[in-house]
Amino acid sequence: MNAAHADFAIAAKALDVGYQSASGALNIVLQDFNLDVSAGEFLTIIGPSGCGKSTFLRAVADLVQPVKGSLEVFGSKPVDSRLKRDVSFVFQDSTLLPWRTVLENVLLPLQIGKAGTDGSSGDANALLDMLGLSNFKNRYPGQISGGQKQRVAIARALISKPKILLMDEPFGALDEITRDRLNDELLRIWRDTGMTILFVTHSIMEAAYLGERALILSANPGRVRKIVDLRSLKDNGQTLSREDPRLTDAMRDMRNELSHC
Amino acid sequence: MSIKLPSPWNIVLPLGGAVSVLIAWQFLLPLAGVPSYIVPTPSEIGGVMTKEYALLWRNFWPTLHESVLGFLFGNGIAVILAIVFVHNRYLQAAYFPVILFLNTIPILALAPVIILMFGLGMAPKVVIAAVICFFPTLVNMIRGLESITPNEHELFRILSASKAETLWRLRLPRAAPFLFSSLRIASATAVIGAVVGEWIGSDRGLGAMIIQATFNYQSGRLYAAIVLCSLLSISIFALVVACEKWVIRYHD
Repeated sequence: MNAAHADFAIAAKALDVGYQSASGALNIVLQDFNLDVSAGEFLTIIGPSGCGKSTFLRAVADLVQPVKGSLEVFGSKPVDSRLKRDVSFVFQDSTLLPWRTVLENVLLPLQIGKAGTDGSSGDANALLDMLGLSNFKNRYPGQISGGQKQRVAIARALISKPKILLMDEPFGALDEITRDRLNDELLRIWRDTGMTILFVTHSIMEAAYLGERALILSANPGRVRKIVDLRSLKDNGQTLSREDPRLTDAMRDMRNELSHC
Repeated sequence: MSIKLPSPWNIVLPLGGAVSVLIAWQFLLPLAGVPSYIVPTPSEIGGVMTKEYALLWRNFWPTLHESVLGFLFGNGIAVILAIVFVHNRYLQAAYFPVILFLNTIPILALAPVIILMFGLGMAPKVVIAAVICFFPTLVNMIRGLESITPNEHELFRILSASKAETLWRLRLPRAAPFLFSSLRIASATAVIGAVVGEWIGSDRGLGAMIIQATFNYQSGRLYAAIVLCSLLSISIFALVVACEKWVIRYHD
């Protein structure tokens, strides 16, 4: 991946994002935020609570409007990529619809709007296969484990063949063993599809292990504190061992940086 | 959480409870000196029900029709209005308080007005049954339609879902458990509405029969009518539960 010559998937320039509070005052969460994400990049985002990690994902997904500055997704406004279904979102709680079976949940994006018509239940079955869910496709979300639910949420996000996958602490509520396994599956999916992934996490381990770059944010208001480049550890395209001393070093630096946020 | 009893007891205990009450009613009340023109025994009520089968049946049908039609109209209009209110805050802000106020009028006070408006036929009974079902379903349905989580809302926004798609694929399924809990209640109140309507102006139906039997000291017939009212409620309730089981097949 040669970032210098690749097209940017996401480009934020002097971006301010905030929410209108109930009293009408504007509460700025992200301020003077600058970031370029290359197409096909895996970017992890970490920072203290209130640093606007999720807010940035929501701005890219066109769920919240920028107050100032510019935000482009594949060279146009976030709303265009939303309407084209270029962006999918995975929430921390899987947000599966409990009245739909696993398969029906994965098919949901294809049943809404015109954008969804390209794609079939064959794709859904292939995705469920890939994520090890074939035996569960007729179960309801209430009948499967938290890790399985999150796999279903990933399958639902992938069914529309997005160019950008936004993940907001997707494995934050899972036990460590399940999380490690899903991390490895996500890396495999990323390599197979060439998607751009933005992955918000609270875990330094996840941020360092998954990301090509790890974005460290400071809070109040949220700003880019540091971008840690991890590509040199991963340039051979192989999955890094979690015990690799270079990874441990990178994590130590990140922890040190976060303690000053 | 309620603790589940081992399975045979689930059937044996309620049946045993009911049978023991019936036995006590049959034998203890006469022993206590309660005369049968005030409280007839279960066997006397059963006797009336077999002997006056045709009369009871003739009066059962109008009440059945009125309750079921009232149930359908009242709940149907409540569901439609809830959908309108959820999509138009201005209409909700303007008219929900009016409905709230109308709901504070006791149905017994409202019933004569409705009879004045709709005459003495079946229509006013249907309207009374509908009015009595309407409000709880409206309130529950609004709550149900609004019970979608912020993440669900965002999921549908990212998918660029239209309002109709969000209603059909998200709001209505979310509201279904709320709707059915108020339909269960409405299964009893619809019958109450029909009976109240018949009390005030009718010569047919279980309500009319209750009034006439009371004035004529025909307590066997009175109790038989009461049993039929209760059976009617139970039947509608059972239908609602069956529909609920069919519609809501998942467990959270």
